[in-house]
Amino acid sequence: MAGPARYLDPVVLARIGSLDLKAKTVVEGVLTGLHRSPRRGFSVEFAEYRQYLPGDALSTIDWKVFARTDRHYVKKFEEDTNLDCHLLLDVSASMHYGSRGVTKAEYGCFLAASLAYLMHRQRDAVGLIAFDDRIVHRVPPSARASHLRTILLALERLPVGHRTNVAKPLGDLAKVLSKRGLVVVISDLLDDPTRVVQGLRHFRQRGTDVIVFHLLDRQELRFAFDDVARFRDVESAHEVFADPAAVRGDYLRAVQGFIDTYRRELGGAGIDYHLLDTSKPLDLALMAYLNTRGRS
Amino acid sequence: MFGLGFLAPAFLAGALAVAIPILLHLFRRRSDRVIDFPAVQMLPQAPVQQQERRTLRDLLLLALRIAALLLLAVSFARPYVMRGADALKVPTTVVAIDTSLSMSGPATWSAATRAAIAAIDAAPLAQLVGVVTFDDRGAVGLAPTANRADARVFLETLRPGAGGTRFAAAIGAAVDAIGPGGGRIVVVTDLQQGGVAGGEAASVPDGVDVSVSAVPPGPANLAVTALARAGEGLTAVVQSYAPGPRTVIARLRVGGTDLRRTRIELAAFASADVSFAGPLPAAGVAEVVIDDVEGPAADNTRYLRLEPDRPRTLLVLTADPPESARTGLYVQRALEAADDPGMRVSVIDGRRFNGAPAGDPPAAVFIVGTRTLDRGGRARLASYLREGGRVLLSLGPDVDLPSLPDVLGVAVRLAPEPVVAAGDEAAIVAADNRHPVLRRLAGPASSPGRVSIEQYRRILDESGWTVLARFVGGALALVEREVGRGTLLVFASDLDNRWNRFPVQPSFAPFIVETARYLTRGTVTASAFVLPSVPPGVPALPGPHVVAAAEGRAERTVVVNVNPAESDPAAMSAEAFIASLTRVDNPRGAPPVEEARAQEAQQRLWQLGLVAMLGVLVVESLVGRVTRAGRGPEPKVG
Repeated sequence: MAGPARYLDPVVLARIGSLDLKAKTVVEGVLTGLHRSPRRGFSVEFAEYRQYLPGDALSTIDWKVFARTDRHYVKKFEEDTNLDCHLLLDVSASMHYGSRGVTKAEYGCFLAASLAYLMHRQRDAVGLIAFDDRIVHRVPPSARASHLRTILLALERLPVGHRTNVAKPLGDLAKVLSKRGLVVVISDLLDDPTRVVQGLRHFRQRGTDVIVFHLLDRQELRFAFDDVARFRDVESAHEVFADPAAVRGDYLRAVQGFIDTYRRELGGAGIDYHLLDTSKPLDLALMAYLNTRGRS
Repeated sequence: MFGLGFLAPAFLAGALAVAIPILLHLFRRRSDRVIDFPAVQMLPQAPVQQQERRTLRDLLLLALRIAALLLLAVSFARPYVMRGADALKVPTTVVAIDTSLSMSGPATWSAATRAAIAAIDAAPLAQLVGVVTFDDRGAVGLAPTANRADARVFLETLRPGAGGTRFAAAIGAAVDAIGPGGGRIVVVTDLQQGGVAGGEAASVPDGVDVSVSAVPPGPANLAVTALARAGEGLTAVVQSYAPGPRTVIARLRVGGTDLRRTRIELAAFASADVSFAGPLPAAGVAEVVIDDVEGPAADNTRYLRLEPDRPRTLLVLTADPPESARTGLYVQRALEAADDPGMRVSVIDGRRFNGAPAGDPPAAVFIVGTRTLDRGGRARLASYLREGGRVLLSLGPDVDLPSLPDVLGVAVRLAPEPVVAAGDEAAIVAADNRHPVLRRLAGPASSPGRVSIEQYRRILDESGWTVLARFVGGALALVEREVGRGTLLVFASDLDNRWNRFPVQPSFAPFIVETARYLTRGTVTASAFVLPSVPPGVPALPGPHVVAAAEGRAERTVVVNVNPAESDPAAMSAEAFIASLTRVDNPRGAPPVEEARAQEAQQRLWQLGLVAMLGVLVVESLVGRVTRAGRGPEPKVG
């Protein structure tokens, strides 16, 4: 990995002490790679001119153009900075599993920090909600300059949760969110897909855009164990005695079915779903966010 | 019974490589590891059964891999199957029971039977037991078995014979019966001194213990030890082996009728000549019988056939008349020294041989000179040899080389001039001591190696000849070949004391006599034999026997007598007997190397081993493939 992309490797990021610096490294790296993108930018960036129509605010008329052309044109911008973004980060015990030095929780923190940095840079209001089987920490959305630091500090101090119950905190949160906005869910989704999808549908029904980042460790995706062992569930302590070589095929088929279920159900509900391998760089996640944000 | 031997057993160390797959298997089958994993819910819920199947497959794979390594190591070790009793590794106790004449005294034999049964009963249960019987010859009476009852029954039904005692035969047969597993030999005997006569040493391999269960001989023994013609009558010799004086009646019987009776007074350990004056019947078998109830019965009678044997003629052919040149004298004297009444020696020079009328062919011809033979004489000799005659030719100075092919009927390539030997170059070395001609010359005093040869003729072509002896320099000294139906022996030097000092050496007379006996084998018409030297067809039992008519010969009566030496009960100590045994390295632990190589080369088990190893590897590959196929395709998740 060369150039800025090198800094997006989760393992490299893990060596960077400051979460702020991590987020900045990720975001700047991604944006550096996008500087020639045909994308038209966000918020206060200019989008187009159109002819003045009755009802338009007079303040939107570009008087310089009027002076040159003697016609009234209204200057349009891509987006106004009134979007509330909620970063929902799963901190359950299963998220603290990592086979390559970076746990899913750490990866999720990097991702949440990077998104928060990016959103803050766009002057969106960004908030953080950490949950396991309940909401364990909440930072309300804000676009203030000092708010990013609050979020990063909260990310660094997140506790290790217990069992995953994605559906319940989602349901609780859907009830309290009154303003439409953007909800970014970062979780391994090791829960009943039906309940999880049901919870996320509550947001969509309120007109809220939802992006789901499904974090899975490399071993969860490949099950590349060699030796016969007892596999103990990190949340329930349930053990299964298995020979990896013998059960690998069945396991991978089950995981694929699990992913397919989410991909199908969430797609059907109009929810963006992105599977992330925690061994892969973060830029994929940011690109997915930017795609979704661009459509908002 | 078979066992496995190896030509290169060091390669078996390669079998230690089986530790590699075993260790790998043990290392990989650790199942006590616990791995924390978030997605346990995705794992199949019944993995144990699958694991059991896999464990079975793994064990099969492990066994196949171990088998392949073992087969490889064993193949490189060049295995072969040892045939016969050599393969038996179980220790064996062999009871060698003396069944000679001296054991046939009533008290002696019952004591011997008890001692043998006691030895069988004392054998450890883990050992096999066997019985060897011996007199002049040793024989396995009961092959090694675990069944003691069989051994007891065999011993209780066993009876002594009339043979002599030869401990070497006993030990040899017992060692043969004991496998390579070693064991113990218990010799049940009266330890008769005659058993070690002749200095023949019994060899005992390491790992075989020998003990003696001595049976006391009878209190006394009287025996008729000789019977011979004396004028028109007979003379017998009666020997006392009793510690005190004895009086005994000797009777002469012919055809079952007592003809004479004589009372004999015998001092302790003394003998007496008993004369039975003639005239006697011209035919029949005469028996001299004494009454002796203390000792063996078989030596109480001696037999003599009254008709004289038809002598076999040995012709000594010289170049010059023996009266003038004394040629052939040494050969004649040596033959006469054999004191064989069935052998008649005739010396004739070439000129007289040329004109002699054709009569009965001689049993054998000793040729020491051919110089005076004419064409007719040479043709007669060649015809004699071709038609089954037996000839010893000495290549001395009286042999005419150019005419020799005519004499023998076969070409003998010789150097034209005799070789003058220097130093010990022409000492004689036997090539095969087992040959009848050389067998009696194995002793140090009569070794042909002591013979000083000054000149000899070099036989140039070795092909077609059986080499019996060579000179130290490698030249042929004594060779043999078949010519037509006859037998030709050629001695490469002189037998007339001109080119060597052989005729005045101790080995000369035994050499000539044994050669004569060898050449006249099958022509012997002797009618009296002493055990154990009886020809085929004659029962090895004392007494008169009618020998069935052979082709071209009439039915005839022969007599067999016991060996008089067997009548002497003088015994040695058990310690002396044990000391007389010669310990040798165990030659039975494994077959000789050459024999082992021959067996291995014949069996080629290493090839089978390698083929089997390849087969095992193929099976291993198939099982491994099935194992991998059983796991199913592994989908890529994403």
